[in-house]
Amino acid sequence: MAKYIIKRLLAGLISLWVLITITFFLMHSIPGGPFSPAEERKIPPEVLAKIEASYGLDKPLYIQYVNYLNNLLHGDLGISFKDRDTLVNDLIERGFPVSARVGIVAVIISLCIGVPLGIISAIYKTKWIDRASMIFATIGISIPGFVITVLMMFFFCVKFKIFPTFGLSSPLHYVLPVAGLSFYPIAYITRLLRSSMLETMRQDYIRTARSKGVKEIMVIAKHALRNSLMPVVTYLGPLIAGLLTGGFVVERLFSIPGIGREFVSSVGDRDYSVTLGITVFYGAFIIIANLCVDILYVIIDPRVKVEE
Amino acid sequence: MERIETNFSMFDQDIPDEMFENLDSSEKSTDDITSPSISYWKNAWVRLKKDPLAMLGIIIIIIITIASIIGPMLIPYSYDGMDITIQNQGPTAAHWFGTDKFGRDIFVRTLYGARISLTIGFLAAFLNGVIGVLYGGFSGFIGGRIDLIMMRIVDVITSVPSLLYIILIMMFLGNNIQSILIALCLTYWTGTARQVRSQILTLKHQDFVLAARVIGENKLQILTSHLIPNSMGPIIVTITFLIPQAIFQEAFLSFLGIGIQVPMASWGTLANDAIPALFTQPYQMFFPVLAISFTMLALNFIGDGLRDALDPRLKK
Amino acid sequence: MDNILEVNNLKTSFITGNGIVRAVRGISLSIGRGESVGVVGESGCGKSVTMLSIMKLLDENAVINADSIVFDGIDLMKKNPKYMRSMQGNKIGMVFQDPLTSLNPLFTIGNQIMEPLKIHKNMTKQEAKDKAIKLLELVGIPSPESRLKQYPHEFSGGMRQRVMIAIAMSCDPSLLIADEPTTALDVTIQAQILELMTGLKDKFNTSIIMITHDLGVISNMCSKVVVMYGGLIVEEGPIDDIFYKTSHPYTEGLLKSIPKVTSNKKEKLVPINGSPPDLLNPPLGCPFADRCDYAMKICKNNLPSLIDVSDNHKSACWMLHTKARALKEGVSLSGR
Repeated sequence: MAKYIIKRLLAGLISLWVLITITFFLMHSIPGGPFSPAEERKIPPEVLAKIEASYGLDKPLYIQYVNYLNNLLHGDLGISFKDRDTLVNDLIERGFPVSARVGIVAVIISLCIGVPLGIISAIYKTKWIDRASMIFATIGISIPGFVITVLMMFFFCVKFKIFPTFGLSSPLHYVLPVAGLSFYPIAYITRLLRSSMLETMRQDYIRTARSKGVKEIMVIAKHALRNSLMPVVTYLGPLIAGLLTGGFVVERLFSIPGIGREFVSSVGDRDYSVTLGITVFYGAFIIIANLCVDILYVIIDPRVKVEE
Repeated sequence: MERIETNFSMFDQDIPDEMFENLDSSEKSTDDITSPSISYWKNAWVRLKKDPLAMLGIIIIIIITIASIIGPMLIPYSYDGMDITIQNQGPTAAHWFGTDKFGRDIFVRTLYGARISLTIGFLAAFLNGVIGVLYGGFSGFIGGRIDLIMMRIVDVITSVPSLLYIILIMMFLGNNIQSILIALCLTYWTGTARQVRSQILTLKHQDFVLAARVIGENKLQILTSHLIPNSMGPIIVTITFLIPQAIFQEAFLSFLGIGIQVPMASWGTLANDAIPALFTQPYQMFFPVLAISFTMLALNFIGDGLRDALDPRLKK
Repeated sequence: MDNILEVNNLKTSFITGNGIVRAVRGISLSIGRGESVGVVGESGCGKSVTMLSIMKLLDENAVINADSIVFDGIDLMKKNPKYMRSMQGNKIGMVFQDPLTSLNPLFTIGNQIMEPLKIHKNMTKQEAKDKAIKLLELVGIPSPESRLKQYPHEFSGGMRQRVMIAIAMSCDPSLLIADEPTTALDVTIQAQILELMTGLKDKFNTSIIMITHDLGVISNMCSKVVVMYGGLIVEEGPIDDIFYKTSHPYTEGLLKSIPKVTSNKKEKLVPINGSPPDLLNPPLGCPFADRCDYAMKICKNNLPSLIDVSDNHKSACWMLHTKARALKEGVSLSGR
């Protein structure tokens, strides 16, 4: 078990390193440099050179890279290019909890609706409830999240004025952002679990369970469900990572000060250290989430260890 | 023609003697083939035709494609023709989708947007498919350490969501169609590669491959004439689903302002432009957004239908 | 003899996209207490479907009809699913063909053995555990205590089947239905499993229905044989009668197609030509007519019913009709 975890951790670290490296070199290859907007501010060249030196941008690229990695190991993600008084770490510290709050609620809602819906669709295959939820699910994964969020915003905020559109100051404020984030996951989980359950219900061991006189509800809840969960667990990793680190669109539309919004603005502002910093943070988060999922695998399916 | 006598019971005593004469072998039907054999693809097409949603999807896509090609030629407005006097008008007979803040006709801009979005979608899916098939096919076929290394590379790429890579690449390459295509092609082939590889791995060990080797076919021949054609079913389904993913990805990025920029406008860009006007001129957002939705819905219906039609286990 | 199971005129059909498949077309069986009966036939003849119909383990697209299915004096056709569940795993145990896929890979063996005990016998966890250990010992699995915590993939094929038998026997069933229990196993393991089952039968006086396509398995275990073809019973009787006084061309064909290890002569293996009948459109007459060397005109469109050959020995063949016997004197089945 320990060996398995270490292997996975190592793989994750390599992926993270690759991400960091790619990000770093891409950033520094972008034509125009971080201070081109500054040219509009008409900064004299000597001052520009001093600023660049203070960011270490005058040193050769590979030294900058080593410095950067070194800083990373100390948990230092650097300073924002846009605003020299801001540490990237602070940005993340401020923004992440906000995104996470919305994200956690979205994950919980997605599971609480998606899982039962998937199970019910599988059990009542081809009956009306299955057809209805499958159509809903197909729509949910086809229509982009941002479209649904916009539509909801329009109907519920403008037309019917039920929900607020700015910030997160009350539980009511959470409803639409969470809904916007959850639409796709609910649809996806429903479809995933349904097809997994259908596959499982065809297996011989389900027949064996019935031949033992097990009540149908237990056949489903005990025997079928556990064997069907794997694909959903696999999806959990990226889901949690994605939702917790902020739906870009949702944060933008509802003016939520999370790190998703910071990320998007930093891209537009060419604030490289912020972009890079959030990317690294995001990457690390996903690696950890995937590691947790891998551990969950082993707990659910005892055969996984053997296959390694 | 003899009378066919039925309904005798074992205990009837007066059955005519000739009933006990031996049956000719010509009167026995042996080894009848009970259903005519149709090729895999024909069978799949027949099944697909029976799926109403999939057929609806195909019709929608065809309509949108044709409209995007011919439409702009038939419409009197150009996509960047500004006319402040008619700015921000709702849908009218003259302007089916209304006008935007510069007085441009939204309908024609949506059609041009269709060109961009559909092109990106189909091209990206096709290219990713090709890359994926080659990479995955080669990896699965070669096996051994090379396969291991190639799959590790895929693992590293997929451990981080492709959105991040795409944004980074686009920052590097700029905000135009080529860079989106390149960005998509560098990241989305991994799903197909894995899919193809696992297909090849399964097929590699089947008897017909052994038979081919016995006949003396070399590895390349086996790969191209046996393994890949037999994997085509799931490959096609995977590629079909890549199209709406690509369209979505581009729309998403453009909607955030980091995708296609004005004056070129994809559906995502149009939607992004319409954000400030959401509360006052909602139609400006609706039409591009509806276009995206319909297209993706249609493609997903087609994908689902294809998957069911090509699944040999469901063969009727 | 008091019968533990009496099936009267069972018919099972499946509603499929292509039409209605008539898998079982009118079967009547009786199994005595402590009797072991073999059901033989090729793939698709309806033997498994018959058993699954009795146990009510078929999917929703199955239509099961019978005049009656009387188990231990009670007609199961008149009972609700709840009653069936109280019988399944309890009074009737079933062992399936592939022990690897028939056991749930994510639960321990202990868990799976204890499940019916907790359901039917209301045992506490400790009681169930003790009984499970005894059951594993009974089926010949060493170190049962540690084995309880293991998973199916940690067992070999033969051991898994022993576990399946332990599960089926856990609540002391009066009837054990075994559907090709040894088909997926090596020949040597086969012998062990059959020996185990015979031992259990003798010890607990359990009736056994042994479904198989292998006559060798039958000869080791069963006192009575039922031969099925095309959804119907074509011959049934005591084992010696079936082997030495064969009265149906199909049974004769089956016997002829077994290679004899001990024979000195060089004999050709004689297969039965042709393929099984299409159950979507079952033939009007004898299902075996098209492949039968002795087929007569009457066989093509008239279904023969089971007729007595001797005490307890019946066969469904037009050759046994009084007229046929008269007209075809001198022609008889070669027997073995």
